[in-house]
Amino acid sequence: MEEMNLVLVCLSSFLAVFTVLIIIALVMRGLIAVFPYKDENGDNAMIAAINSAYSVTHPGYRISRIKEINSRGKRG
Amino acid sequence: MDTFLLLIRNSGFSNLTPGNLGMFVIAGVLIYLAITKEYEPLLLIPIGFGTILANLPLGEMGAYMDGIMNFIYRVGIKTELLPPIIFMGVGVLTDFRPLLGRPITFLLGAAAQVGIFTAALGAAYLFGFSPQESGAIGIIGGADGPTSIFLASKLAPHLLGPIAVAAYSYMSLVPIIQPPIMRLLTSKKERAIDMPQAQPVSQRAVILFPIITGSLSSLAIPSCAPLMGMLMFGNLIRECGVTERLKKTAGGPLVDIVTIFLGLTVGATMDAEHFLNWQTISILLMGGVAFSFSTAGGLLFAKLINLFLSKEKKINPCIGAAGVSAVPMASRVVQSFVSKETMGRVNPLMPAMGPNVAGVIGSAVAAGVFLSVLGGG
Repeated sequence: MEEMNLVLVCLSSFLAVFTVLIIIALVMRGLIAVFPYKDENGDNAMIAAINSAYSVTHPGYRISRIKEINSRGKRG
Repeated sequence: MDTFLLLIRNSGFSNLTPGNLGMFVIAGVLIYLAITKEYEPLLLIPIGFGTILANLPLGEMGAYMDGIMNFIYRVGIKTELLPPIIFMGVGVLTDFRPLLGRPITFLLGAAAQVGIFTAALGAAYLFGFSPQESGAIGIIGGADGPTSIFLASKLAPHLLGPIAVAAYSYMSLVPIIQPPIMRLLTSKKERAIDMPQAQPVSQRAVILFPIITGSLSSLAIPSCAPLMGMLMFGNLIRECGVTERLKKTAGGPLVDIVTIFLGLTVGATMDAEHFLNWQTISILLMGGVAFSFSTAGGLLFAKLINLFLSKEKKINPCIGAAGVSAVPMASRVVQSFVSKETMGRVNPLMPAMGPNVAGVIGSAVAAGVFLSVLGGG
């Protein structure tokens, strides 16, 4: 009798573990959508490359800010 | 002369039993493996030496005797104090970003817990253990030492020594157990699946993860709160960026101190009377079954998920094997196996870390489920 119960216990426990982890996975997916990753430091290599190229055409000047704009005029 | 004879009669030498000598050999093997093979040395050295202490006749150093080990056992293990503190340290030392960047790997961590339930059934059906003992034995398949100790101390304290030794021994044997199973259950083509990097995760999500996960899992399965709560607290002080001192202490000196007491006390439960019996052999056997089934479970579930994913999103099924926890060894084993099989072209270390840390959560939740169903908690 106890062994029969253990089969049910194991099956329901496995389902419970799965359910809890699925819920956490879904919540995490939502969390990542709500708080998406933003590269706050920018692309340092790209900034250095643009600065280097700009200093050749405009000696004595440097770029202090780079803003990406896509073709529709929205910030990229 | 009489005094001298009395001293000899009352010495440990004259009270040594063959069982004590057998346990010295077992302790020697554990210490040897820890030193020469570096198999879980931080745990096996204290466990090995604790075993020696427990088997010194009249020394009263066993966990079930009246000395200081019994005190540490009652205060540290019977009260559930030490395993959750270790879990806090694990939380500090674990980076959950690979899991958050690919949430689907939560499912692999859940699937890899199948060995726990298979071994529990095997222990009950094949060896006649009680449901509580079977649950405690099954959790070895979670490949998580503190979780095994936590559950065994609640459901089957008399089996604590063999269960802890089986858990740590099999964790150290992951590099030997897993590769043949991965080779058997995957094709060359599957092993060569090169997964893209997981999406980067914002700091806000990383900070909210331990708060939400700790609360959600503990609300769903209250018995897992000691483990999940402390694991997630440790992770919060790691990620929040303003508790550097707490992070250093919890992930360094504190976890080291607790590891010493935990290891010594587990060793002290291994006196000849409690360890040298057929139950220990069957526990070791079921531990192997649990590990193998958990490895296969994670791997086969990854293959099942692949049936529903587009070609460019397919998962390398070998990373499912890392769902057995044993962080980070299982990930390293997957990385080493796949890299070797693909001549270094595919290196899934980071993708494997996702199911690997999900396995830690999965085994803690499984322990909580067993505790609430079998322990009346």
